[in-house]
Amino acid sequence: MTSVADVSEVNLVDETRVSPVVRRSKVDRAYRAVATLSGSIVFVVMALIGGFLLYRGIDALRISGWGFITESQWAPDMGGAFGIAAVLPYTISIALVALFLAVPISVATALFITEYAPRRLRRFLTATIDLLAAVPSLIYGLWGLFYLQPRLITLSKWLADNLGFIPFFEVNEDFGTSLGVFPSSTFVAGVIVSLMVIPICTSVMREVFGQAPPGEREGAMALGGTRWGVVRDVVLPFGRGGIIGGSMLGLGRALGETIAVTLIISPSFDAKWSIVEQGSNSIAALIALKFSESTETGISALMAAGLALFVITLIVNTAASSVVNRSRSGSATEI
Amino acid sequence: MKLISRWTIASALVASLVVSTGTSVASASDPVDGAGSTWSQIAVDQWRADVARQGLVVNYQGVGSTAGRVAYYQAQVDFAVSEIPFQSAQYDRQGNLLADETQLAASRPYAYLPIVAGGTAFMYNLKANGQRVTDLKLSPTTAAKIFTGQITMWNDPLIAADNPQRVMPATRIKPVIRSDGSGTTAQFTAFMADETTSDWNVLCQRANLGSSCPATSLYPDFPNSGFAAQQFSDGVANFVAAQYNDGAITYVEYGYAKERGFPVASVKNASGNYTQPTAVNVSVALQGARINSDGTQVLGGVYRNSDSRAYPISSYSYMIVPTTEAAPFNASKGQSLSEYIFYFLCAGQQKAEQLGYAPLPRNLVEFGFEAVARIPGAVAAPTIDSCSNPTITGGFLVPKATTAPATAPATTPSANPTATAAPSGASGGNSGNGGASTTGTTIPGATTVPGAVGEPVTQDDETTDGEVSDATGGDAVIATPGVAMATSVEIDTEGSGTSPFIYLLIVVLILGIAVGPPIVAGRLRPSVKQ
Repeated sequence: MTSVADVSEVNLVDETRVSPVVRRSKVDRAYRAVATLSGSIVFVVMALIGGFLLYRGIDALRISGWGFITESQWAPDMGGAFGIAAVLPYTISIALVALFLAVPISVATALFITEYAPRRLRRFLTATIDLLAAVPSLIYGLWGLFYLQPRLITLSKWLADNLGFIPFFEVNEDFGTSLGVFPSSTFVAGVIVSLMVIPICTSVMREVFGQAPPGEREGAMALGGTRWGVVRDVVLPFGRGGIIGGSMLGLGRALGETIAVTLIISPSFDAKWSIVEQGSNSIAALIALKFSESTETGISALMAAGLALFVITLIVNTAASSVVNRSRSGSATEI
Repeated sequence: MKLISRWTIASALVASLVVSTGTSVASASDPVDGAGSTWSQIAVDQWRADVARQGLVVNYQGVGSTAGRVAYYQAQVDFAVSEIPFQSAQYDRQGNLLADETQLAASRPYAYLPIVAGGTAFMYNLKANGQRVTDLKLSPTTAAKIFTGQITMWNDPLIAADNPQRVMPATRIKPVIRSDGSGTTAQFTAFMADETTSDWNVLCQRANLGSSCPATSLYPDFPNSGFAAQQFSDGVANFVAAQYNDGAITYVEYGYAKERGFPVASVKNASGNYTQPTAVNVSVALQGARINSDGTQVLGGVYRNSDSRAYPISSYSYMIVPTTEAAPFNASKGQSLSEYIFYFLCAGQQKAEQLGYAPLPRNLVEFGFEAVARIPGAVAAPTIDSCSNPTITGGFLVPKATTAPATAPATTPSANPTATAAPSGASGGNSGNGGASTTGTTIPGATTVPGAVGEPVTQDDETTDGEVSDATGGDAVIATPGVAMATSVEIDTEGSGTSPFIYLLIVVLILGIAVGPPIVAGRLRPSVKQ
């Protein structure tokens, strides 16, 4: 606390030199201190979570050693081997399927709202999309489980039948291609998660596209550019940071999505290329499923898996923010 | 300032009043805290609510069996509920000690007592020639081979041997297991580890857990097993019931299959009969339960109960109660806890069937009474005959031996409807089942305990071997305990009975929420501006 006060004193001296009229009252200084404290709490919380996961997970990491990264099985409770070699790729593939679907839709939606939609419709669309973000993920999960999945697997079957030569759509021949092979897959989970990601991506992108400099916009128009030309040459290049930032925010959500994924997937512990075949996994879902009946070693192993997810999310977000910072609209995006 | 001080005095007075009344209530009956099994939670919660009306406060958190046992030896709770007892030392493959619960729990001496009984049913979704199969029969070995991935087709010779009454379709079997930790899994794997050890060990080996492994709450899976895994009993039952999952089978409580109108397999018991997991059959089987000197259950006598009605995959969950006054327990809590236990062992068991469980039979109630006697501060047990447990008051079970008490006449009136409901083809055909077929049947949702009557069974059951295969016809909707029979059920081909109307309603509602506010806002805004 004293250090914060010191800093404000120094600033006070500096600024009084520039404009002697400005005086920081006690209230002002107190407000500064509170704001600084709240800002630093974020870092404290991050450090506490990371530290807690490491502290609880270290026992399991000691038992498994490097096997934690190379082992695909998960049986810490019965003295078996355990590792994230299958769970982590599944987690990432669900998130990638979700982004693959969500990003194009979000970009198009954001462009429509900022560039094409009439003013009245714009307000309505913005409210609707924000509302989508407010729907609890459990609702998405239940809707996905009972309504979407039975319908979506017919598409999975079509993909497997017609595009089966692509490893992503291949299914194990032992099981044939009856509809029963396709539920609870990475694809179904990814589609449900994409629905949750779309509103997040869209609102970030909408904000950024809306800030495209009007001067450049009008200039492009004045040079005889079409509306699409303006979008292509002004809005999209300006909004690159927003597209990436929004996608990364969505990726974070997709990697950590728990309940909807837990409801949909049939946990599998052997990694495979196919995204349409039954069997998938996710670290968050694994923790939710195994937590209640795990032994102490099991819980420690789950914490270690959580740590892995935490680290990966940090790396992804740091990488993304460096990309965003280099783009023009970087300052406008929060990531 | 004066006002403030007056306020503080007033609030302090109120607070002291609250505290003093609080302590006076607490001295009458101390609240007891428990944690553990989610499988037993429905019953535990119902009984808690029942005794709360008498001023007895019992808190319970369904955190899972393992977490409940941990909370017990860490002295966080007064009692725990678990499907499996404290586990002895477990080592990983490198020989590192993982956990030794028995040793950890030794610091807080305990006793086990039975709390909730139930059977594990095999719910399945199978079509043959476009017709739903409803008369599947399985021997324990066949069931174990299915759930360990050794049998993968429905027309496997082993399944065909259990089902001579029909030609099994060449459909792939899709075993559906629980993806979360579950008491149902613990009970089923305990059965397999005990009764079909060689098949269970195959699973242990395939899952890379060594040459053998103990019962577990987390079902082991292995690469390319073809298993599907779903969360919660509801999850597996819905999954099996899904229209696209032809060939799926899961282990789940009987009630979940009944709810969805799906059949469950009849399982072969020691007498050679194929039985349904009704409450009566489970209670009958549990009469064979024995208790080890350390209080753990010996279910061999249940799994191999020679009663023709017994459903073999029956078991019960434990309550773990302290036998010393080690903190946080004390004699006052012991009094509350013992009163709660006497309630659920006796009157509480009347609700067991309604809640989807089976009432504990007399022998297990007696084991429970013995365990309660070791709780410090426990009140004296009622005499066993004054216990209003339906298996003791009669009307639920007909004792197998000639010692039928004079309770039978009391239930005669209700016996007639059930007797007529049972098809003669299914019950009369089997002479060996004379007693069994007139035993009470379980009607879904029935609040009264189904009647049971008839002459005590005196003939032996050996004659039933081979005859059960006749009992396939008949279209009774009610499953007669002790007899394997078809239950033909009208099933909505659209799946689990969720109406599209509900979805429509939800969509309209969500759209309303989405469209409503902007429109209202749009209407309001101009008027505000002008």
